[in-house]
Amino acid sequence: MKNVIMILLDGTRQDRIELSKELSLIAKEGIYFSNMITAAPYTVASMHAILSGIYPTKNGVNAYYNMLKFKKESCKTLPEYLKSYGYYTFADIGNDSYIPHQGFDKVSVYDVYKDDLIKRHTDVIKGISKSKPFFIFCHYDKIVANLIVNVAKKHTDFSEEYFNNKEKNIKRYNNYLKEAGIYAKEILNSLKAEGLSKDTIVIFFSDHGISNGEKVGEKMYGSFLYDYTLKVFSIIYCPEKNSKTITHQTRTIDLMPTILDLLNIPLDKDHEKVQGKSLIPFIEEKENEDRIAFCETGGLNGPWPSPKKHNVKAIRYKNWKLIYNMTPDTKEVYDLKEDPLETNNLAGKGLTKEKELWHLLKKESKTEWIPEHI
Amino acid sequence: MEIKIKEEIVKELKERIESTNEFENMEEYVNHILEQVVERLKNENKEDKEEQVYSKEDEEKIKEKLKNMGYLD
Repeated sequence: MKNVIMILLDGTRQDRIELSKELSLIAKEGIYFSNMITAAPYTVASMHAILSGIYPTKNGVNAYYNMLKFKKESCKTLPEYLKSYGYYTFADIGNDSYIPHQGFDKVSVYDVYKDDLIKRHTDVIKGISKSKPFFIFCHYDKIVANLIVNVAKKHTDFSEEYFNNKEKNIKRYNNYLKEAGIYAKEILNSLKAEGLSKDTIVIFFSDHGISNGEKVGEKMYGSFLYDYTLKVFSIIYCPEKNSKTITHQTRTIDLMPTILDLLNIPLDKDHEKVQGKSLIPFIEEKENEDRIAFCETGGLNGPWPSPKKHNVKAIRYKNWKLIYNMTPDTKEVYDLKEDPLETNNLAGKGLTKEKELWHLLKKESKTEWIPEHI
Repeated sequence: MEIKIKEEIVKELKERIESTNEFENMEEYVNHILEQVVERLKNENKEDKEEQVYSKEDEEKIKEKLKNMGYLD
């Protein structure tokens, strides 16, 4: 069996990857999913969805306050699958609540403000036993940590100083992103030095993006569902697979079934049905349509905080998006091809597209609502 | 109570009744579907209520975790 390493570049925006020469090169050499949408724009909900392949509504972690309510009896995680196939499973993360622990042999937590993550994670790779296949999950949390100190602690979600200095915000963010690129390159170098490249599937990915001051009311992430926090990416390095860029819309919940598919591990029918689908058909050019992406959140701050229950839901499909803000009961509809910055709200203008998206949103957000007998 | 059902839906349901042999007529089939819907709605409401119940201890624990993540002061 091949080893698997997942590298979470927390808070990396897909639209900035090209600014890092290291990440650009990694994207060029791997299988790059450039149009991937997260299930939720904050780490706790996003990562539980990614490691289970199941949307927050069904896996239980569907609010900041529900971070401990993962349905561990019914939702089987990626490390649980791998452990049952003889893998050693290990995670090194910035906070113990970011991921479900089910299936991990060991989870360690670092201090992002003190530890050198390049040294720490390359040491993990150097020290791992090669006697059995392994699954390593490494979390790079420096982008978010730096922004917590320099943005979250200094500004509110409505701070004029922050929202009137967008260029400064962008420059600050881009510098942190470049450091993430150097980290990613060092991880790959370490794998090569250890002779593991040919036997290891490496996945670089992001769980959510981060605001640079695009919309007043959200200084970081987790309150709204605009593309600057929803649009993420994944780069898969897989021995025996050629490099490729896939621009069709995919979802972060597709990563878990993709990894299992690459390892020929079947999904378990005794557990909650995985909602993500393998991305291999895209790699083999057997699928060439956007997938429907459903997303949800409930902010800790912002204009309508809802940390106990998600109150913002969205559907994104074929370059259109509908956002439903449940608390003020408002809709937003955007033509993302014509209006990628989501500034021209087309809701309530009689578009057939709005009806289609509304129907899709209801269907995707309450799939269990549809009677089974039809 | 009389409810009008769209023709295309009636057509689909009729075909389904004929192919499965599980239901005597349209009324029985429609009632069966609606029973499922009502049951699901009850469960959803129950789940929603359960999700919103937090003990003081739970709430403090979560707040502490959010502080450690840097989200709360």
